[in-house]
Amino acid sequence: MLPGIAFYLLFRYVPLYYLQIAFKDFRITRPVEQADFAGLKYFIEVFESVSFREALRNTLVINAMKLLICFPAPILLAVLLNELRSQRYKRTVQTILYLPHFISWVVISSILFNFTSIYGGLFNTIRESMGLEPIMFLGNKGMFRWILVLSDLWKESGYGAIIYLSALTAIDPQLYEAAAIDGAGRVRQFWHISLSGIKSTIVVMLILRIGSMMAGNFDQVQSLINDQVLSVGDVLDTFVYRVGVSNGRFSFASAAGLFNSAVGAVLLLASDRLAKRLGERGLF
Amino acid sequence: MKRSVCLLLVSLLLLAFAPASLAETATVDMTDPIDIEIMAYFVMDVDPDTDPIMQYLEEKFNVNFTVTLTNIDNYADTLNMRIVSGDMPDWFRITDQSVYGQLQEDGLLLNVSELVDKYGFENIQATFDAPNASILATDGAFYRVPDTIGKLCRCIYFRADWLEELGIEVPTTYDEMVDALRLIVEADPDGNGTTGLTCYGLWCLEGIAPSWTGYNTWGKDADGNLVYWYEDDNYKEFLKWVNELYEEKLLDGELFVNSYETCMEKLNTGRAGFYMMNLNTTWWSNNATMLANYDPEASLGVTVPMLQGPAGAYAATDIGYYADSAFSSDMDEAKAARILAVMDYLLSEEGRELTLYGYEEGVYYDVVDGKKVQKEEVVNLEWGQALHFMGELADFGTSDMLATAPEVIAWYDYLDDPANCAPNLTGYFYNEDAVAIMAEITEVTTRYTTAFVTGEMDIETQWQEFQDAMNDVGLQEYKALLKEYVDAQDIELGSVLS
Repeated sequence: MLPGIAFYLLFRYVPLYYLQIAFKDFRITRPVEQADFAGLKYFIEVFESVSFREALRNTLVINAMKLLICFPAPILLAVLLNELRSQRYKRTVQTILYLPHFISWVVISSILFNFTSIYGGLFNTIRESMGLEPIMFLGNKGMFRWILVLSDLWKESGYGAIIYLSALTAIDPQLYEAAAIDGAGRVRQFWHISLSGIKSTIVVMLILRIGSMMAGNFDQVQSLINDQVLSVGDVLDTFVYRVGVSNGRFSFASAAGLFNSAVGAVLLLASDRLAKRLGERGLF
Repeated sequence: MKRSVCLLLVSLLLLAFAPASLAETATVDMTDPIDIEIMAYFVMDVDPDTDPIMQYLEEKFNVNFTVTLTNIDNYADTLNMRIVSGDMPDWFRITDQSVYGQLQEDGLLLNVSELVDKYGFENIQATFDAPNASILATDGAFYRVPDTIGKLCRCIYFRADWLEELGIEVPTTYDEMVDALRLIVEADPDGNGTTGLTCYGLWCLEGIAPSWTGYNTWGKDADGNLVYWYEDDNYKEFLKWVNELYEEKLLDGELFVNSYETCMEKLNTGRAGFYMMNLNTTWWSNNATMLANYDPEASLGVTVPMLQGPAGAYAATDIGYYADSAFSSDMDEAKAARILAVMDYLLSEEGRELTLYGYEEGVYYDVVDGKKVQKEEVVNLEWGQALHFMGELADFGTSDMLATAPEVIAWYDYLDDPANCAPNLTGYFYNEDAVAIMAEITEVTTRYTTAFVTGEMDIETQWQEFQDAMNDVGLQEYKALLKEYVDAQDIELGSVLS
């Protein structure tokens, strides 16, 4: 318990003090308290930046796509796994599904590069054998967002299913037996027992997911993005890093980061309120 | 008699002055041991407790080193973190001009010039006196020791055996190179599906842009106004040329996705005919070894001299310095002088020999035909590269002394003539406002130039839109700030062609 509290204090609450960097002309050579007050100067710079609006739009679009596709996938996977009767087979499948979670995005980007290369990559070799022209997948604006969504789906669905699997195992098996006796088929059992049994877990996970829509893409996007797809792939995290941090503009980066967090907090509270209106417990 | 008296007087006069001139140069006191904390990036870990070269230096200068190393990608962030937390290392490398600017302005860096004058560190002084080094000074004083990158700059490698096999002459102009690319792509000599010219990003290819513009990045027009090459019609012609290569599939379609490793792999596994990347001893050796592993019969070549473009033939040499050593001002003079004594030694002929060949014949090197030759298994396994860590810390350019391949020697000879080089001497320009403006300009140039190369935008019809976009984010303000710097530093920029 204590290490957990210490972690949150150190890495979640103490940094809040340094949010003032966003409102000051901060230099790494002076304590933040000694930095001159800059007001909203850096927020204005962020909003006026040529790439900001693009990055904001991409963040929302990519995360909305992920929400629609990647959020239901672990639920479906958990239900399917729960249906497996052979424990040995179930464990093997689970292990295989969890594995991608432990592969870093740098490695995955390298695998993707080799698979999608126009010079001997697997996908294009298949296309060419079918008489089709090779496609530069990672440089294609129409495909890049889908690559982000599908690679995230492959990497995280298995691991994300764990929490739903544990929620499913908490459902009383007698409910299934009673439903079967009453003539309910697999689909009705899924709908009325499995899904309603894990509904509160789904709602909590959905609220958290919506709350983190503005963040959490850095590793993936930074590993896969390139100049050709900046306009459709650049998200707020990569924008902050490229335009702010890597130029030593820490106040600019903090302002962008604070805006990002504020929008995330609004989304979190809004989704929580919506959940409560729909009769769920919500988070707060 | 008179003559003897005169001689005696002159001798007395000289003797009177001798102690005075000796007193001008202070001596570094090595009596007490001191701890020196170094922070840098390097290819592998270096432990001062086990590394014989570090131990040799520790003994020689009565010091104890502590070394913190990161990889190059994490270095700037890690250093910033330490500076913010008030834990600045004694000796570290500066890779970010904005960080240097803040440290220097706030008095956190050691004034190296003062101590060099006081203690007479001749080898460090020589680095201050080297070509273009004065640009690294602030108000006439050095707060860092310039670290040269030697003759490292972009050149064009090619598969020499393919050219021979296809009966193609080594190109001397970019037009001839395009002809060669066409033949190579059509023939696909190794049957692997080859691209013509590979590179990583437009940045890489811009190494040949001076052959269109006549200068590198920033030039001056006839009225003395600064011109950014993205404003120049000659650069526009260069972009058109690149776009034509791209459209004709003679340029690697993956150039914006490639890393230098993937490009090397393409060149050295029969999937590219030409490759633009840095050429020096290390890169030549890496490419040649990789190609020999793929096909022992294959051979590499490089375009030395550089190919002729519309404006001539130039290598984009930049400023020639990177990741200079800087030192904390938060230490007493005795310690600072000792650190600089180590640095001065590393920059001496003996110090350079030490970090290239080690100190023991038969262990680190053999003598062949009267010349020292590195033992590759030692330098590769124990040092991680051909130049020891302390050598890289002092002067990366020292590794140029290892050149033996005729192609590399020819390249170095070529670069010795300033007429063949197009340097960008504005690389050390730092100004907080300018950094913010350039970040925005870069956002614009990246998007437009990429779209021009891939044909997503039309160069002719959308060039003005590109100009307007750069001006909208402050190109003219940036030029005004840069002009002040260029004038103050007396930097000579290349002339813009009419």
